[in-house]
Order: sequence, then structure tokens, then C-alpha cells
Amino acid sequence: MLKRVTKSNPMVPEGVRIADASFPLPFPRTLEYNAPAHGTWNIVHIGMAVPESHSIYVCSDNCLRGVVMTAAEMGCSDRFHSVTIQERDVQVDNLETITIEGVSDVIAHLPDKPPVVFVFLVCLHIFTGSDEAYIFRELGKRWPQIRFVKGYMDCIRQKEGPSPDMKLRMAEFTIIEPLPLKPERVNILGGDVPFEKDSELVTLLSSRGYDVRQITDCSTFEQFLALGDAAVNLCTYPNGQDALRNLSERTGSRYLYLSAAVSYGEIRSQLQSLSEACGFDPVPEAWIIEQEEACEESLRHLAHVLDGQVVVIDYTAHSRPLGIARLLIEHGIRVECVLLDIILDEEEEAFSWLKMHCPGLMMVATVHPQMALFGRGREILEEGPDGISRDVIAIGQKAAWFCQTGHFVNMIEGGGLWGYQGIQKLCGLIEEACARELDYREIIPRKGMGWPSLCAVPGSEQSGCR
Amino acid sequence: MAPEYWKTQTWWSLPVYTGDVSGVCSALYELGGMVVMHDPSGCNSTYNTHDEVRWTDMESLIFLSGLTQLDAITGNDQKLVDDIVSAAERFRPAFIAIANSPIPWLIGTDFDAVCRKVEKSCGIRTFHVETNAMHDYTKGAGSALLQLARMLSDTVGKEHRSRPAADGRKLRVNILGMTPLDFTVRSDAYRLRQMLEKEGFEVVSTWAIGDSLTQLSGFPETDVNLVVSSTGIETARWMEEMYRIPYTAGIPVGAFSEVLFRSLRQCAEEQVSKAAYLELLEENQTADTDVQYARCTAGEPVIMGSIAADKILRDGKPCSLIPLTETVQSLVPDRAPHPAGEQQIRDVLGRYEEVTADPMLRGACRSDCRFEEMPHFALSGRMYLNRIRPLFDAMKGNKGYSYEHE
Repeated sequence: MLKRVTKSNPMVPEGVRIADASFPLPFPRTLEYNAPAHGTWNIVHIGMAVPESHSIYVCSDNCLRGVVMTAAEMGCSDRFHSVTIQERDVQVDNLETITIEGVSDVIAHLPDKPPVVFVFLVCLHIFTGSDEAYIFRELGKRWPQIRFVKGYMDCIRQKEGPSPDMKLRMAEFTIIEPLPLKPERVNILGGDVPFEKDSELVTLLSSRGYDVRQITDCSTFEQFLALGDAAVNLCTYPNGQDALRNLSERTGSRYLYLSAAVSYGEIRSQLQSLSEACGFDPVPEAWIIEQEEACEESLRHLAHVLDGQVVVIDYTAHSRPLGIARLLIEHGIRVECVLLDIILDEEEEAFSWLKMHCPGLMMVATVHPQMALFGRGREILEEGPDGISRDVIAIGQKAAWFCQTGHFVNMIEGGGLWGYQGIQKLCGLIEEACARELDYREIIPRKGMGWPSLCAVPGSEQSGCR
Repeated sequence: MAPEYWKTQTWWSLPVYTGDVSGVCSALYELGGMVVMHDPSGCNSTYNTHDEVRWTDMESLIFLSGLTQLDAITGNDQKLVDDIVSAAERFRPAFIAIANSPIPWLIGTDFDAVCRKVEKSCGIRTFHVETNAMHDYTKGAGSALLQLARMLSDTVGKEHRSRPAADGRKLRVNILGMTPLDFTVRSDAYRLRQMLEKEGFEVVSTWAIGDSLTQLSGFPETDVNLVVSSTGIETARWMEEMYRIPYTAGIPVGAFSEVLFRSLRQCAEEQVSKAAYLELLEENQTADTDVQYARCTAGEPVIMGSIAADKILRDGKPCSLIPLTETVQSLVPDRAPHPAGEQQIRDVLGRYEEVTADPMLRGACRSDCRFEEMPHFALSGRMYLNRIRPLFDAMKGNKGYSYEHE
């Protein structure tokens, strides 16, 4: 075998002071724990977001189980199908026969043929050297009325290069063909949580006459294809960037990444970029000042309400956990812990600021084996400098789990918050979390926030399994 | 190879059963060991979301290795060894079990060597449970319990320590094959024990809900094994071979309870192993299409076989067993079909006018079928969790499972 020249790391503690943390990987890879917080979307949810699409997974039983049950729980079993791989399939050929024949057999059983089918290949296809081009060519010949789109559940490449989630978003938008561009059309795509009609980003555009569309506005495949006529494509979610850049290149649209920034300077700069990309006059300075003052007031009020209570943030709630930590700390709020496993590039500035100004801020890995111990997040806080047990307000489902608290902001992927209004709404959500307690054990194991959840949760009273 | 063999591997509306890797974790969950799934990502999330009801109530050391493409291609098993050892040194588990997903199987990872290296480094018993994610939980959980028994036998010795039952003492029994995948209501483990004790048996160990590794170590001091699901059959056969402990398969439900307890006593006395429900089922298997009124139970063979037997005893009408999980050898009637893939399941279930099965199989039955729902966690996961009822109710005179029609 090839020998590594570097030694693998001995198990490091699950938490590290930010002063001692490295960027962008604060923790070496080791065995992984998985917290029962599943509100974020997985590849099933992302694929199903394309109207009228069907998904066919070609994989082994154990790998299939998670996705088939995801589809069942979200009420989409009628659009989800599967082909299981057995040992003989690896021996017969490179999984080409089972993939082509299996997918064809599934389609033959569908009463109505869908316009688009995602065919998900897996790690085994890669390692057996499946001829993917041949597979899709053959499927296309057999079912010319169907558009086949290659999806991946190649978990083995999850940590090296684009994740299956990112690749699927890319595949999703490759379906859209270029159309004559309409200058008044603006798409906000690439994320999972839709923006409300009255959200800052949408109103900034709609009040200036733009027709703003999101994937949730598309209830038919035809409407989805019509997204190809937008003059501008906006993306606010990091994992959607490549997909939207690619779409824009193909359709000739302008592309703009508007990160879910939580600092005034960055928001100002993004407003500037937005006006330039869409071609409207710069946002008036007076409005900006008014909004910044409103944010200041919200943050002051939040600090007063929290009155020294500790806030813990996790990365599933928002793509800017460190940015939020900085924002809150700058306004006198006690953030003592951020739960994350890697740091995104766009968080580098916040990381550096926190390293310098809050060296004692704890960064805690969510997958570290030690986190399997219930309430470990709270224990880490209690092991802090003053050793005081405190009430904790959690931002995000994983933070709620690790701190075992019902006082949490139940939000994923930024929760559709953006800009100044996003900051104000976030303050409101934290205040709300402070005031009321949710049954986190009943809420957080449910998959895919925003989708139906047609199941009961173990441990909850109604599950009946106690 | 059968023509169009792929037709047994396609599913357009039905889910698949819990997989083998999850089965391993489920079987070993409560025993103080550490289970490592050698897998890139996903197995742990699938397991704790859809295949495990204890994750938020009971701590267990179940981890994923996070295998990467680079480590797989370069054969860097040392990372796996190092990661396991460092976690083991921190947690000091009672044992370490390693299961794996398809890629380590495909590239031929030498798990025996990995186990030896881990064991040598941290001094904790380590074993591999052979999986590749291509089988259902009955295979994974079954193999895990077997490997556990083998490990324990190294400590407790190879000698069968039970005395003859003739001296008037209670017959001692191990319960084999009990995991929440089949016995989801936790009180079932306690109630089964109660029922056995009421019948004059002494329960030595339950594999593996509610008992500790120490209790399981007492397994050789037993007269007879009770196999309550197909996840226990491999271990039962091994114990029979190694320790001459015979087994009976079945669960005490309704009218069948009496037959089962009698069979268990007879088994200890005559040293003949069998599935207690088989005889009744062999006589009443109604898979033929010419049957006037056909009914069946479908799912895991030991549980559904016992329920089929109970039905036959209740009203004297035939009832077939349709096994849908993988481990069936010596647990199903010779004539029982063993459908694979959605089409075969539909073809087989479509013959019956009355079906007892998990609600997710409702759509595979005839539209005029009298369907009796019996949610099975290993199939429908959390979908019908709040409708899973206790299998045993010792407090009501061993009446067992109560049936409710749709």
C-alpha cells in the first residue's frame, strides 16, 4: 500500500479556543458521531424541489434506506424509486446492466412518464469504473421523452471536492435551457429556504418593478424551465454558488452571489453589487442609515432581554455562525461557543476578528466522538473559566441538541434571513427562543424543514415505543 | 443467472428493509461496546434517524469512520486503526465491533488485520462483523450477535454448563434475536421475560435488549434457547453446535403461546431444535391460487410465522407465511414463497384476500384485500411508529397481540 508521510492525529479534544484554532479546518478528522438533528435538507429534498421530477437511486440496501425513508416521510414516495445493487452486479459488469435495466424496469412501471428523472449513482459506480456516459446514452435511447439527469450519492467524495449536495444543485440547474432574457426577471436560486415576499431582498427588487422568482414559485416543470429567461440570477447559499454560476454562463444572465452577510459593511457592499447587477439606482444612504439604526436598536433590545444569558450557535442554522457570533459579541451579548466542523472561506474575516478580540470563544466539533455524550455542549460551557452552569439560548438544531435546551432558534440555512431585515428578524427569533421553550426532542429529528414530516419521532410521547 | 434478474431488485413504490450495517448497530447498542461503521458518510445518519429508537434516550458509542476516496485508494487502513484506538482509549468500551459499507468490501479491506492491530494497541477485544450494505438487518444483526457470542465464548469457555432438567429446577432459557427493529416497544422485552417466568422458565439473558454483557456471558448455563426473530437464528445454531443448547423459534402470541411454551420444554427435553410454528403452517400454507379464501402474514418470519400460527389456532382457517426479510433458512415452510423485489411481492401478496403486514405494504395488496396493519419498524421506520403496539401483554393473561382490522 501507499504510505502516508504525515501521521494521523491522535484524538484531540472536541472543543478548542478560537485563539488556538486553525483555518479552515479547526479539527482533524477522526471517527464521527451524528447528532439527531436533521432539519437540514439532503439530496432527496433538493431533487424533489424540481417539480414533476422523479428520482431513482441505484445503490445497496443500507445506503438506500436513508433516502427511501426520507422520501416516504416527506410524502414523496410516488416520485421516489430505487434499484438495489447486489454482489453479482459488481461481478457481472461494472454495474451498467443493473443500472440501465433496473432504471428502465422502474420507469416501465410508472403510470405516467415523468419529464425528468434524476438517476443517482453511488460510490460503487465510481469504484467499479461504470461507463456513466454509456448508461445515460442508453437510457436516453430507450426513453427519448424523458430527460435523464445524473445525480450522485457519492459519499466517499463528500470531503474531497464538491459535495453530493453541491453537485446535485449543479445538475438540477443544468436542466434549464437558455431562453430569450427578460430584463425585469430576477431569480433567487440555489438555496433551500425561500425568502418571504416581504423579505428585504425580495422587496428591494419587487418595489423596483422586478419579477422575482424562486424555485418554490414553480409548481410545474414548465415553470421551472422558464427560469432560464431571467436577466439576473442571485444566489445567497454557499452550496448553490457553482450551480448558479454555471446556469448564468449558459443562459447569458448576470450572476451575483449575495452571501447571507451579518455585518453592516458587507451588507452595504452587497446592496451596491445588487443595484449594479440589476441596473437600478443605488439604495439611498438615508434608508441604509435608518436600517442600521433599526438593527442597532434590535441588538440593544436583545442584549437587554438576554441579560447575560449565554448564546450557542451552530453551523446548520446559518452559513455565517462566526459572523453572527461577532455581531452579537460586538453588542454585548455572551456568545461562548460556536459549533461547526469546518469554516467557510467567507467566514475568514469573522474568524480573524474573533481570534483577536474573543480568544476564549470555544469552537466545538459537532461530529467529534465525545459529543455522543448527552449534553456535552452544556458541559463544555460549564467547564469554562468560571465553571458556572448557565441557561443557554441555542441558535440552530444541533446547538439545541448538544446543549439539551428547548430555548432555541429553530432555523436552517439562514432561515431566509438576509440584509438588515435579516439581522432584525434574527434578534426577534433569539428573543422568542429566550421567552419560550420548544420540545426540541420532538422537533429536531424531523427531516427537511419546510417539507411535510409524516412520521412520529422516537422518544416523543406519541411515538408509543417507550 | 436468471433472465431479467434485475426485476428482483427494482422498487417503484415500496421501501427496503433496514440494512445490514444498521442491524449490527442495533444488535450491539446496549452492551457497552463501541461500534464503528467503516463508511464515508450517511450510514450513521440513516441509522439514527430511521433505524434506531434509542438514539435520543440512551447513549451508545456508535461512530462512523468517515472513509475518504483517498484513503480507500491508497489503502490507508492505518487511519482507521488510529482513529479507533484513540477513541477506545478515551471511552474504554467493553469491546469494539467494526462493520462496513460497500467500498471497504469491494476493495477487500483486511478487517481481520485491522481488528488485530486495534486489539493489540488498546487491549480491547475487537471483532469484525461481515457486512457490505447489500443485505437486510436480519443478516447484519444476526452476524453481530453471532460474533458477540464467539467473543464471549473465549472468556466463558466452551463448556455447556447446564444440568439436566429432570432435577425439578426451572428450565433456563436465553432469548435470542431481540432488537428494537422487530421489538420496538421497549416493554416487550420485560413482558416476554415475565411471560416465560410465569410459565416456569428462568431467563438467563436477552440478546440484546435490557441485559448487560455480564448477563449475556451466562449464556452457556442454559437448557434451551428461544429464538424470537430471525436475527437470533445464526447464534442459536452456533450455540447448538458449540454448546449443544437446542433452540425453539417463535414468539408467544395469543393461542400460539401455549404451543410455543410446550415446544420449548420439549426442545430442552428431546434436544431437537425447530421453529415451533412450522408444523401448523406446513399444514395450512395457502399460497396456491385455487384457494377460496386465502390469508397470509407477511414480514419477518419468526414473528409473522407465530402470528400466522395464532390465527390458525384461533379459527381453524389456513394462514400462510410470506417471509419478506432475508434470513429464512429453517424458519419458513418449504412451500413458502420468498419474494424479492417489488413485482414479486405484489404478485405474491396479490393472491391473498386477507393480509397482515406493515402498512407500507398495503399498496402491494389487492384493492379488495382485508388488510390488517402491523407496523414493523424495520420496514416503515418512523412512519407508523405511533401505531406500533406491544406484541406481548403478560398482564392480560398472555393474550398477546390484539388484532385490529382496517
